[in-house]
Amino acid sequence: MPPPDYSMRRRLLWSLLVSMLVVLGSLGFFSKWVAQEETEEIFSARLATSSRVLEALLARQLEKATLASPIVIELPEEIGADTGDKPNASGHPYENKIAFQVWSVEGVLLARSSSAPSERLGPLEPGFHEHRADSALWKVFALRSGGVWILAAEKDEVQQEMIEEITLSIISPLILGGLALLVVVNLIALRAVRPVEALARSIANRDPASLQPISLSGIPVELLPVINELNALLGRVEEAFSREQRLMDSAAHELRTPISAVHLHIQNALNAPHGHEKNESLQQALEASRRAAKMAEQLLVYSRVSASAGMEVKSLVALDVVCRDLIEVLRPVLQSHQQRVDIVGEGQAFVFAERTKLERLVRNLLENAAQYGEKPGVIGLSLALDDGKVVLSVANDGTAIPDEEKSRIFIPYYRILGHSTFGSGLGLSIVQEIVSQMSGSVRVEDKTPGRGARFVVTLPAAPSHG
Amino acid sequence: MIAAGLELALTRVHYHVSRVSSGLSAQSALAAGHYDLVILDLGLPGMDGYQVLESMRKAGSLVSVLILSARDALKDRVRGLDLGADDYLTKPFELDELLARVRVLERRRSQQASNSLTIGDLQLNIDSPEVSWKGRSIDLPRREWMLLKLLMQNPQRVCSRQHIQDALYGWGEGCESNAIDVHVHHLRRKITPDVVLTVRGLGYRLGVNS
Repeated sequence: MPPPDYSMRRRLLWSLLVSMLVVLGSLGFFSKWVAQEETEEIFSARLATSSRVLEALLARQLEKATLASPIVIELPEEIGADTGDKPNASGHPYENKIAFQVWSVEGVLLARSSSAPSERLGPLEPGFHEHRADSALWKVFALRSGGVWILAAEKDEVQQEMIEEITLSIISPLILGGLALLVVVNLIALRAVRPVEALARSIANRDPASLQPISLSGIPVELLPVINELNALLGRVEEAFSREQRLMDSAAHELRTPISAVHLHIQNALNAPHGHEKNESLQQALEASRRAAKMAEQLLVYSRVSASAGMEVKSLVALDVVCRDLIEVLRPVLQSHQQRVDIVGEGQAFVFAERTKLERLVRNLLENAAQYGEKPGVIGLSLALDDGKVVLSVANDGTAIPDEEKSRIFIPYYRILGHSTFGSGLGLSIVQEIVSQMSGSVRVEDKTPGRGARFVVTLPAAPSHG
Repeated sequence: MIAAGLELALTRVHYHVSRVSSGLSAQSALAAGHYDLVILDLGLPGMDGYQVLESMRKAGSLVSVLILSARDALKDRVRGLDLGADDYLTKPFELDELLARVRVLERRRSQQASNSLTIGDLQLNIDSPEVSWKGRSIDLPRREWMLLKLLMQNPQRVCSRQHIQDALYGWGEGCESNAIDVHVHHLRRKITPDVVLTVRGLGYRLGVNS
């Protein structure tokens, strides 16, 4: 299954949000742990100190005293209820959350602060304890002094509140900053995808027939490869289009001449005063219509060969056999020209290709050599294996092709000036198209300097054949 | 392929045609003979039609030129006409239209208002091989018809023997030394003895006055 499409901006925001939650969560957890540790140290030390102060001030006296009821040390009314948190001249409401008790070893409560419950704040064992009394959790320090126990305690909620506030004071700016960051990143992302949208718009608003390259200014370099590739593609499409257009123009042009000739000769036949003149004109009309048919045929071959690129049904083909078969097929033509074909280089040469295309390639090369070669004359065909490549060459005697024409003769309908020989104008273009589809190459050279022509086709040899 | 058919069709309507198959031989033919019209294909081997036209006009030639080409693009037509062609016809074409255009150019050359040339009782239509004298229709062979047409197109002028020979016989086409005298003799016999006057030492001129 292909991966689903997604929005770059949303993905960016979501990943930012998740990573922020992870980072802030761990930070909060760590801050809380640090606050816990630190306050624990301070609170414990304070409880212990308070116990010792109490011991020094009143524990010894209480030990000896005989009391009807425990002494209660009152807090001034002015400090307010323990729910407030504003200090005043008398003290602080939080004092309600700090308490102490003095117990005799026998378990009699001797004294307590008014903030302390009458039940015991904690076990009578030395050291720190956490104890629930009067429905509150207390942190307690117990200290034995002679015959009494001094319990100094503080409500746990005080410490918890402190921890929370410390943690919150650390984490809340981070959360706010994170939210602000999300908004900013969103804006940046919106801005960042704007060139992509501009590109999409510029493609959407194009004239469908236009193959002009896309030109946008102020493009981020990350988008340039996309645009460059797109423009390169458009360029290739345009090139293919205009090649097609040129071909169609040339084809129309080339076909008009034989068609006009058919027309003209038939009109002459109609106007002919005598039977033999009529026949002569009809004969010429027939000849012209044969040419038109041959040109149409070659045009069809060319367009079929071009259109079937990449869709061949390939098989292992013996090129030497194909050559021999075609020489047989063309024998009547060659005999009428008093030409023969000499084959050089016996041996097998296998090519992985579509047989019909290979046959067309060899046929066109032989027909070309027969047409432009000397009559009578000899056409030389050689087949060789060279470094994983099959080299096929077809040579004829006759006029050499001028150097400046050598690359142009493969252009559709290009004809060498001074040559009035009739050809379809596509034979060598078909050769070149087939060769390039087979990842091979074709070139033309003089057979001997200044004389004749040799077409050399190089094709990749089939990798292995048993 | 087309040229042979055109030559036949033009010859049938009594034009004298020299057919050449390359730009260079066209130039030699134009240099050597006298022509009234060139039908020029652009896709010539050796030297293309534009070059032939350009060099003709550069050399000062005023011969009428009709381009007959498969190139039908506007730029090709404009280029041909601007290089000095008098007309441009694209393939495929109708033979009758081509012949009509050839007559247009011929009329323009000889400053005729219509296809019909009438001088006195003598009448000749350049689109038909018939000639009439005093309402009587006379059938003339090609060269006699051509000679009469030449004299009628130049009614007040003396045509030299050389001019007549060029008009009746093509480049490289042999002509007996007395051939023109024979044609003149035939015209006088078939129409009237005064139809052609001999201007001694100069040539011939039409003997009929309007």
